[in-house]
Amino acid sequence: MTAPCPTDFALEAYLLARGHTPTSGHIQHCERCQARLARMEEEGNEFRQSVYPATIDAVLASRARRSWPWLKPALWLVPAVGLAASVLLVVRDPHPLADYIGVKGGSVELSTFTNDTGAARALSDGSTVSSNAKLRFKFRTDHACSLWIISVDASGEVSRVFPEAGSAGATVSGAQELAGGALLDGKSGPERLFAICGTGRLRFEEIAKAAHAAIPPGESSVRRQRTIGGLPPGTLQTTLLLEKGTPDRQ
Amino acid sequence: MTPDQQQVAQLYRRVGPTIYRRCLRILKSRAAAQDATQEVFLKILKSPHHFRADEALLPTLYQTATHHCLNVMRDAARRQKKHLDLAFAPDVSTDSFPERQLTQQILSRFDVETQAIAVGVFVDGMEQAELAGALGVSSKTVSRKLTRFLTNARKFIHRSEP
Repeated sequence: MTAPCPTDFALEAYLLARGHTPTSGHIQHCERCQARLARMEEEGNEFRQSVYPATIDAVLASRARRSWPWLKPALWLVPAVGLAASVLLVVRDPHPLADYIGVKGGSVELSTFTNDTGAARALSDGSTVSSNAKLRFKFRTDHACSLWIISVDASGEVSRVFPEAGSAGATVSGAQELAGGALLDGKSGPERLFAICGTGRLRFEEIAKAAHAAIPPGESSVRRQRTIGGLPPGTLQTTLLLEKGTPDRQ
Repeated sequence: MTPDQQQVAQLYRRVGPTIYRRCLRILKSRAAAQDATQEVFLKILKSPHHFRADEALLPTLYQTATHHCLNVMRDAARRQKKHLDLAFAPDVSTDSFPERQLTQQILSRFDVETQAIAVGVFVDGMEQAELAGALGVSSKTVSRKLTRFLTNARKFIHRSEP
């Protein structure tokens, strides 16, 4: 018996999850569903090409009239582990709206949040944070991949940030908040985070070796070097520079 | 752009197409869908749900867009003194055609949640369980409101008959 075609709602889920839904099998073999998806993609392009440019200014202006009303409700999202007050977010890739480095057809975004000044805030490239700030991350990828987040400081030390354990990266797809977080080491100076997502089994040792080769010790090289070369083809990466100041009293 | 603005703009680019398609489907007017899309997005920004992953955000997008666009249609219908003009999903069985007619004629007489349930079933062709997930309500609520909708709709039609 032929399964019924999914509803528009299910097709939206398919588009948002980039094909990773229970209806994927049906859709791939159903001409009618593929035609529906093509129409939906066309309407999506219509949004990106005409609706978005025509309305984004009004959206941002309206948003600016509000004072981040979602920050407080979002606080509960942060695990209570040691984070009494908390943070929020963000993340950001250095190049707004084109903020990814990767192969054609793929992109990744890393958002980083902290509350080191007592109020939740999103961090942008070059943000100054306390040297012992706690960070939270949200990550988004167009395609499922194996994620590592590492950091490199001025001494040339490469540290593992996420996942905290295991010999392989964490498999991620779509957008998600990352469990755990990071606590900076208390030393002042620049520190650069890299989110690296590959399709193969990439070990931390390989990434650390590539990072050492790309970023020699020194503050200027940490600030200047935005990519790590020598990684397997198809590996996506994005980066965020943090300037660590003095530590906060805990 | 500030970091907050960048984050908002990125979220808008990601989920805007979903909102726009939903609004286009209900309102059937590109201009009306464009206006509704930004208004729906601003409503979603007021909610902590927008912090979720895109897939997890889908029910919120669907629910908010459906409610908003039904309200837009209802207001327009009132101004023009005519019934809501809805297109039905091709998968909805022809056996339910009388219910389709009922839906078309009296939808605007019900609260927005009942409207959304009726639209989900008769316009979008969704099963009750899927619709419950999309609207963030229980299957029991969907069933109860749908039954009440049909009962009251039939009463209304019966009273309207000469």
